[in-house]
Amino acid sequence: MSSVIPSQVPFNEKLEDIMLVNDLKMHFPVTKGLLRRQIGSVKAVDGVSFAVKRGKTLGIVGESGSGKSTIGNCLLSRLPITGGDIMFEGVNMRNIPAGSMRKMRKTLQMITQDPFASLDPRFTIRKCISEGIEIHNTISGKQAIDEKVSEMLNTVGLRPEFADRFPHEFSGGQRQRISIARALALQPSFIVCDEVVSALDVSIQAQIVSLLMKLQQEIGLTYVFIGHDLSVVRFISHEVAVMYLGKIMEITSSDELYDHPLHPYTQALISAAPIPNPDVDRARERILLKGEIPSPMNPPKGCNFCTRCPHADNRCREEEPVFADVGNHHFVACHKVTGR
Amino acid sequence: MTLLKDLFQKKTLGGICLVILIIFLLLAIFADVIVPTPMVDGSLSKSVKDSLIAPFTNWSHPLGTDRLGQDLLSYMIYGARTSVILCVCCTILSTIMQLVIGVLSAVFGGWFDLIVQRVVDAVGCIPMMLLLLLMMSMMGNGIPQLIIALAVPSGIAGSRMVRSAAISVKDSGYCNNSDLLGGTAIWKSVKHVVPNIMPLIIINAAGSLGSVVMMEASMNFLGYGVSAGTPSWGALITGQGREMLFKAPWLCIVPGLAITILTFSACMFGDAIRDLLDPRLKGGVGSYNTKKLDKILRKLDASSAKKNKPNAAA
Amino acid sequence: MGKYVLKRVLLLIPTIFLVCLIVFALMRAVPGDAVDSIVTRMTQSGQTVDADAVRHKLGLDVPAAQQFFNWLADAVRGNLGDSFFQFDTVSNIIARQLPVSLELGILTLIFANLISIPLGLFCAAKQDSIPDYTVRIIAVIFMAIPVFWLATLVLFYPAQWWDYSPPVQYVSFFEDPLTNLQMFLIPSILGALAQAGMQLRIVRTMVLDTMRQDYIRTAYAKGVNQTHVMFQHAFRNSMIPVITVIGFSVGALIGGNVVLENIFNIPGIGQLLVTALGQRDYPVVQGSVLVMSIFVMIVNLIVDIAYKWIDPRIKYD
Repeated sequence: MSSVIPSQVPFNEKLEDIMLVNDLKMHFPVTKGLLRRQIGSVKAVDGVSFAVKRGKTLGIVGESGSGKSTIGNCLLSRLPITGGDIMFEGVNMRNIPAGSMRKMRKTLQMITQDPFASLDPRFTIRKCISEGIEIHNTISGKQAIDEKVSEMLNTVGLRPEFADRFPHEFSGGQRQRISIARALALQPSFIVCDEVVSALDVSIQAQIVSLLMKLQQEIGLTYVFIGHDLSVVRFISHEVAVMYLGKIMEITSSDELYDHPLHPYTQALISAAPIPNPDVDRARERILLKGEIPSPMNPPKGCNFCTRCPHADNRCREEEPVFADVGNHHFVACHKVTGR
Repeated sequence: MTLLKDLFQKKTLGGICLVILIIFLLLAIFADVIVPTPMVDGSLSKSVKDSLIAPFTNWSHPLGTDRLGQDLLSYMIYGARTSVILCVCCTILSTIMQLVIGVLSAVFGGWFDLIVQRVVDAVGCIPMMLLLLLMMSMMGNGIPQLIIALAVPSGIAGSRMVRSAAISVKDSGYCNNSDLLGGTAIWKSVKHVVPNIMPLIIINAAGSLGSVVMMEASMNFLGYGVSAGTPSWGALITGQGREMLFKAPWLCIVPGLAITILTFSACMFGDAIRDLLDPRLKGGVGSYNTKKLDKILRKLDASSAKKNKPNAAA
Repeated sequence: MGKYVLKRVLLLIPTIFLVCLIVFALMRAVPGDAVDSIVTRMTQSGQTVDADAVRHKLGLDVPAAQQFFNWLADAVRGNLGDSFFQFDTVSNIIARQLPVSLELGILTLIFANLISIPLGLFCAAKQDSIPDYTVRIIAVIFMAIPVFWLATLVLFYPAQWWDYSPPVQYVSFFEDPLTNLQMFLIPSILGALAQAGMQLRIVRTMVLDTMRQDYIRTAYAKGVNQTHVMFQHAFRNSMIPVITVIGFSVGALIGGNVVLENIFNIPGIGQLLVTALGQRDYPVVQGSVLVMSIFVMIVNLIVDIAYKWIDPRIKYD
């Protein structure tokens, strides 16, 4: 608790923060040779700090390779963190032993991207959903478990009769609903949604996202929503963080981010996202990024974005920008914006 | 079960072989009841005067008798019991060992995996025959010893295949999710890994049924195997079969044929099961077969002829 | 590639150690001892003998663990010890008898492949036709026939009917190739039958798998005829897994087919092992198993490396 430096963590109005992440680092070692000497590391997540407010959604956007999924896995202790702290409900997750961590999984859940791989093809839906319950023995008695399964299926909008069918009989969208039901069966308070709609059709995406938002309102769930589709993330999130090459470039409330993007990378991303109105879409100016993405093993000395930024200068290439508040709890990491 | 239905419809030879195997199984179970000459004091002979009668000449001894007057048919039925017991027990024990070693090795990984795999490699490199002979020398002759000797080395060496199958399964989405839900590694192994590699296990088990009988017969040939006095087809061949080949060839030919039929049925049954459970071999998209192609072409011609007729009329 | 080879070779060392350990332990667990039979034999021939002296001479009076390490230390330096019963060093004995088994194994391999590969290709080409079914059933029948039974019949009936029997005394290939080959012909064909049966099915499966690939369909769509497709495209690509199967079967074949060697009186290493086991001739058993295991491991390693080298799609682990 005392290791959190308040000025580094952007949070608003001192609402209850269910999760505080401070300077999280996840470096994967790269080994070479017979004895596996470490010659470098892939800096997937390189000093990330944020807070997640209770009952709200934090969206994390970025391109592939920016480290968003790695953050999701770190938040649930699926990866051994290289540096930094994660505080959940005030408890430092780093020091929790494996046995207690397993029990904590009732509260922390994750829904993953691939609806086809995440359900065991040999399990009936009933077994899929009740697996968590059986592991932790939260409900005893076959009847009570069956009732819970039906309740979960109803909650996600599927008919209870589906409980005895197999995953291959369902479509992608329905399987994601089943995954959501499985996560909910343990009554968690915190769910990481790792690209949950990226593999679905657009119309189904809308349904799933609406379902998630409805559940948040009814049950009070907290989400960390990871995605690469800006419009979806905007819709569901209260706050959005933009990631690039393992670092957060900008973080603020979602409306503020889309109306007034300050970081050059955010501006480029938003200009690339299509707008439904074709006249407006054609008329606006798109920012095209030139240059190459640096390798995560060898990030640039200064700002991570300097190789592609249209405004980069020598200071950008030499000095790493400080992640600072430009007012209204809008944090940006850019010399040109913050001057720091 | 649809599997059985498919077996008899699509792979009739496999179905027939299953029936043959079941007949052997029933012979083994009901041996004491079916046998024309029950075993009395370890001997099947009613009188020594009946020795060396040729088959098909005498109604009370349909398959003939041996040097001591023992009825060959009865001996074969009792021998079937020995072979069936060995087959069933060895296959079950071997499969369980393979599963446990292979799956645990795959799921836990790390040092455990490294060490276990070295032991598996070592056992796999020692010539099978020698290992069997060593174990039989160590334990002595007899059916339980034979079961252990036949099952343990193949269980250890066969775990390698199970391990590679388990490795391909253990990192899939649902296994990861099982960890996310808070399941232990054992939970994941038992509930997710094992059921998903079951087809491979069944195929292996069915395929290895046949080899047990052969190995047992070979062991008897070398003098290790079932204890003296236990009826066994292999023992008959190597004992009286070889000696009396000139005067009473049926004593060698009949048990040899029996071994062949049993092993053949087990192999074909295993093949049929593998074909039914392995989707790759089903001849789906991309399988080239002139007969099928001709059929399809003929159908296309027929349907286009039908389509052309009304057009031509119009 | 070089690192992969090095890694594999290094991994061989603990495996070989484990092999020696397992065989040593199992042999010592077998009841009975060479000493008793030697003492009996010598007393019967009229010599007075002290059992303890014999035990000491054979090196059996020190604790087992020490015996193991003494033997290991010698073996590493190339000295496999002396046989308890034959008046020769183990190395000489093995050098005499291993090549015999190798010859049998090589001949078996040649026959097995001569039969299985063409027939396998044929079956794959004529999939699901009557010849295909017939050949496959015959293959399984050959796998099912007990080798020693067939060998017994094959030795007996020709002798009965035509007065023919293969030579029973072993001569080396270099001394008298004709007699040598005559002696090995029948056992190697018999051994090849079972192996061919198994390999035929594998070849057929592999070729069928390859034929399902898209590039084969493209070839047919281009109008290439079936024979050309099979030999230009399918054959080479399906041979890769077949080569691995052949390679791994080499290891098994070199193990010395004990049964065949016994029946046809071939002085190979299988025979040696069975006899030595019965006599409790420890050095011979340990030495032969060490040599055979190293052989099998090296063959497996070569096949593995060749496989990865031939198939450019495989990554090195």
